[in-house]
Amino acid sequence: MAGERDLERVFSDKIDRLAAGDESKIDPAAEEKIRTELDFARKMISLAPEPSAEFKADLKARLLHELAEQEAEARTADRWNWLRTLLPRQRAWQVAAAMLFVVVAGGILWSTGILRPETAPPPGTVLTAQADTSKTAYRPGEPVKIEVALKNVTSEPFTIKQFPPILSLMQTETRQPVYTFAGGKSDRTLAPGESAEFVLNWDQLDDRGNPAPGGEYYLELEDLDSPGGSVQLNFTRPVHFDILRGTSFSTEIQEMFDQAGATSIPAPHINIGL
Amino acid sequence: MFGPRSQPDTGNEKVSRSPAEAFAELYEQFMPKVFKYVSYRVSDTHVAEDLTSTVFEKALTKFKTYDARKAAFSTWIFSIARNALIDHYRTTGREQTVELDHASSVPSGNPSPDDELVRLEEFRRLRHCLSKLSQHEQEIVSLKFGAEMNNRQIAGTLGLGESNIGTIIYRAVGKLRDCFKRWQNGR
Repeated sequence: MAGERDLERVFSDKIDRLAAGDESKIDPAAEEKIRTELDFARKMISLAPEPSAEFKADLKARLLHELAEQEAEARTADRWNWLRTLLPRQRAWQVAAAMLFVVVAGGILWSTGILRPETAPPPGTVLTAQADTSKTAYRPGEPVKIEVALKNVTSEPFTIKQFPPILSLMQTETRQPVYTFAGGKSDRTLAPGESAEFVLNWDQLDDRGNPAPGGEYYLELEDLDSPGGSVQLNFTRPVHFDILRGTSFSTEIQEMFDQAGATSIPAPHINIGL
Repeated sequence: MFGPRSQPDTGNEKVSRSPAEAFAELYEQFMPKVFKYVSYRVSDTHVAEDLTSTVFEKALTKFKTYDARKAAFSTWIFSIARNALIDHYRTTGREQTVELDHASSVPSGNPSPDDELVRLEEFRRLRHCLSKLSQHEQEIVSLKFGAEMNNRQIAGTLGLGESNIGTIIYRAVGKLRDCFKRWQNGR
């Protein structure tokens, strides 16, 4: 019995070594007795499947992304916790603080035009334009989705040449275009009261292909050419969005992963601004 | 802030680094082992990949609460893996014998396509022989050959005596060898 237990122990130890790529002998005599079992154990080790490189990289990219999102959430929670320390404890003062917050927030939203009802278009308007972005703030490298709707507010059909029209993404700070979507190649005729929508996706690269700087942006449509003269296209409500500034946190994480022997990760999935 | 309550062990060594670095290193070290362990317990490579993903996603979620003072990371991650397998069996019924997907396994040492087919067929046969063992034996063999745990770690994960583990492994490998040999002789 003791002898068999010894063989079992040697067998297990040997498997551990074989799995680590170590072929050195522990106990030559004992190993000879269990040679058949050890040979089969070698075979089992050699047959063990490895994960594909593609799967390994994809999973790591997803985990990296989740890790970065957790970090971002934690930072947001920290900010809220700090804010809570500023709130008064007495109930009456909490109510007063809440009302003050509502008034201030409402004023800010009103100034951005979000709360203002749409006013009737000025006389002579042919098309009204409305737009929305999928978010108000984006991380560097995060795709910006823009939905635009043009409406014919006249009583006659109107043809938009080169639909969709040229749209520029303007940097608020410089009031200069950073990227311009070229106009379409086909015409589109709108019946009276009809709307036409289109969606644009911006990868945050400027017209030269470089990453756009952080900061606030707004949309601007180029006036349309028409037989009767140019047609102004102004948004009924200004459309703004932000690209967050700061060092890319995920770049640090990517470097850490790379140092651990990782493969690189596609940038759009991981870039996050602090 | 994201991170475990104390620095995790990687191979029984204390590491003083950020939680993100620690998790990255642990991923590189343990992901192949988790995949192998799961591959021993399910017969479909796509399922093995799904379960491996599930294990690490859960590990990431729980990483904040992982305490290296209470358990080694290997014990912790494979507890998650075992629970993921239990959940899988509950939803799908017990293990089903499904052919391995040839395209999903990585050959070792770049063998020729014929060698790769032989290897995959042999693993499929090994899986079949493994399914003839008791659930207990399957679990221990998978932790030994898949997760590459030593007997002490297996004992800690399963709550068993270390010497019992050695006996079970020795006898189970003998049974697997006999089953495999019968298949080879019958070809």
